[in-house]
Amino acid sequence: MKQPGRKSRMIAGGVFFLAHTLLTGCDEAPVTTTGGTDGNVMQERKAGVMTELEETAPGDYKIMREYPSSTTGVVVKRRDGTSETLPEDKVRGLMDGAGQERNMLGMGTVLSAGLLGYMMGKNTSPNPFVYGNEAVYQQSLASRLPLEERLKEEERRTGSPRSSYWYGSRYYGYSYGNRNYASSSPGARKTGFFSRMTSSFRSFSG
Amino acid sequence: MHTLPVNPIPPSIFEQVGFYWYQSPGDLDYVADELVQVTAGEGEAFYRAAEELYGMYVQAAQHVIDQKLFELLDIPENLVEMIRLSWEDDRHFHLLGRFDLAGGLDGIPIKLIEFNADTPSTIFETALIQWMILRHNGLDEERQFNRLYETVQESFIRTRNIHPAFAGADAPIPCVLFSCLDMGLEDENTTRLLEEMAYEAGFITGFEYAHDVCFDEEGISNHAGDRFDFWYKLLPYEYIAMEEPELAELLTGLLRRDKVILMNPPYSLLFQSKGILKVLWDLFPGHPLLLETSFEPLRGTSCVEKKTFSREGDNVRILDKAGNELDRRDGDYVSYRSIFQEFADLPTDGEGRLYQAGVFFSWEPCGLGFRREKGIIHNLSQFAGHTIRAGFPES
Repeated sequence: MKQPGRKSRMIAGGVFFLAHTLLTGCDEAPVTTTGGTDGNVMQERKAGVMTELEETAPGDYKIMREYPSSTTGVVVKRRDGTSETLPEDKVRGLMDGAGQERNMLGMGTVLSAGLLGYMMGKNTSPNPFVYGNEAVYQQSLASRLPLEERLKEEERRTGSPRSSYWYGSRYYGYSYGNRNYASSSPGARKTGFFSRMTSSFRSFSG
Repeated sequence: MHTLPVNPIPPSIFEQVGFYWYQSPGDLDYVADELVQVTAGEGEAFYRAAEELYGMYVQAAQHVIDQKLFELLDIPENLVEMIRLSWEDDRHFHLLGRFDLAGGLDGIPIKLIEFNADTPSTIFETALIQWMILRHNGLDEERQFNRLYETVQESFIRTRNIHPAFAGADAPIPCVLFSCLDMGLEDENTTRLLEEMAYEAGFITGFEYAHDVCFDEEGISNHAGDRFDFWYKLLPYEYIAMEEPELAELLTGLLRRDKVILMNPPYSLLFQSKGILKVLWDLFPGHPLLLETSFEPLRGTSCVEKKTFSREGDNVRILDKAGNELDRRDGDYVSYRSIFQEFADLPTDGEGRLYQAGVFFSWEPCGLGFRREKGIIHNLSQFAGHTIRAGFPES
């Protein structure tokens, strides 16, 4: 039978990454969740990339998993069996310091050469050399296109470029949580169903 | 019954991941500070039961459609065409549901209580919260029957691949709109968590409260006029049928003209109606996973009376062999047909709390969780996560 739980549970989804970081990270910089304290944290989201790195030799890393998510973060698995989660802020710093790294496959260098680096304008195409194996690299190439197309489609649908460029990033920081929609004529649309329902109604799920 | 005390997760962390309903009214903790310890064999048996039951539900639903038993199941007439249309077309994929099961621990046999197939709750708790408890307590993350998040993601991908318009390299990216009522963060964030799964599965996603969703002859759009190919609604079909019959008519037309795909599909209402428990018993009498069920009180055995579409333990009565009432919970579902289901034993802990298992099914069994209560389990009953007992490795 299939494994009941997750092998690499921590980045099953962006929300798992966030939870993992919150539960682990007293020594880490506090995680900043978008939306502030006054709103529902699940409302505000943006396009990001989740990356899992594995230490292949002392100080050398390779990308073992990568996928588009509304959370950006990096999970590092070290040779000694420990793992660390790096929130967004720290990832930026690592990538900016890539040129100063002593290792050929230092963390910043590898991240800059992957899908996250691509989304942040650090490379023009992910580099196969930084991937753990061919399949992960191919998966990354496969994710890149739909991710871009999806963001373009979102832009088309909302009627204006929505991406907020950061350090020359392509779509990084693109917000699709509280976007402003282009106005369109309502036509013969019907709306307002269930507007009579009030908070006196209990949860609908069962 | 084995439980493991655990350190609770601080409320501030719950809130930062969007889980705001960690307290019940009266300041009671909604998430138990104990994990149920299951053996690998018990967990696998729960999964096997769900797998087998799903197959039986499909046969029972086919029987209901063939024999036109909709009225017996209290299915509103204005939903019947929608149900038929979705049933006959493979693109209408059943995204997920949750089986509620009795027994399964302490050697008590597993019995089906019901299948929450349309708008299942406790997705957030099962997928995320019980995993967080493992991490927070330094327990092994793999020792839990829980791939709910990944499996639903895979189901979204499957939904895309079985739709000719979206399969293939050059196909457009499917757009899915997520909706619930604007009446609380439990429904909203459960819906948004599903949206997250779809987004990570490569869909274009959007969220709109149900009252802001627009419907016209060509399909479904958000208030800005953006079209969506799929609509996930955390709105029970029978509410749509009764409260907004015009919407039921509109949706039927959209399905007829192939303008939208609804999630869960309309046919999930056949699984949801507890009337199907009687159909199951008729088709599979004496099946070891089933409890005897009738539309009349059972004679000579204690039983539970429920309504075809009651939810969260409302309108439930427990009757003894002689038909005397032992316990009851009232509610708003009196107008529905009653079913009477043989009483089933639930595992009990040292404090007298009864445990009911919930097994999620999304193409395959994919997540286990528990609710516990001293009496009839209802919407404020505690959620208890689980872990696989040490010394009982996966077989």
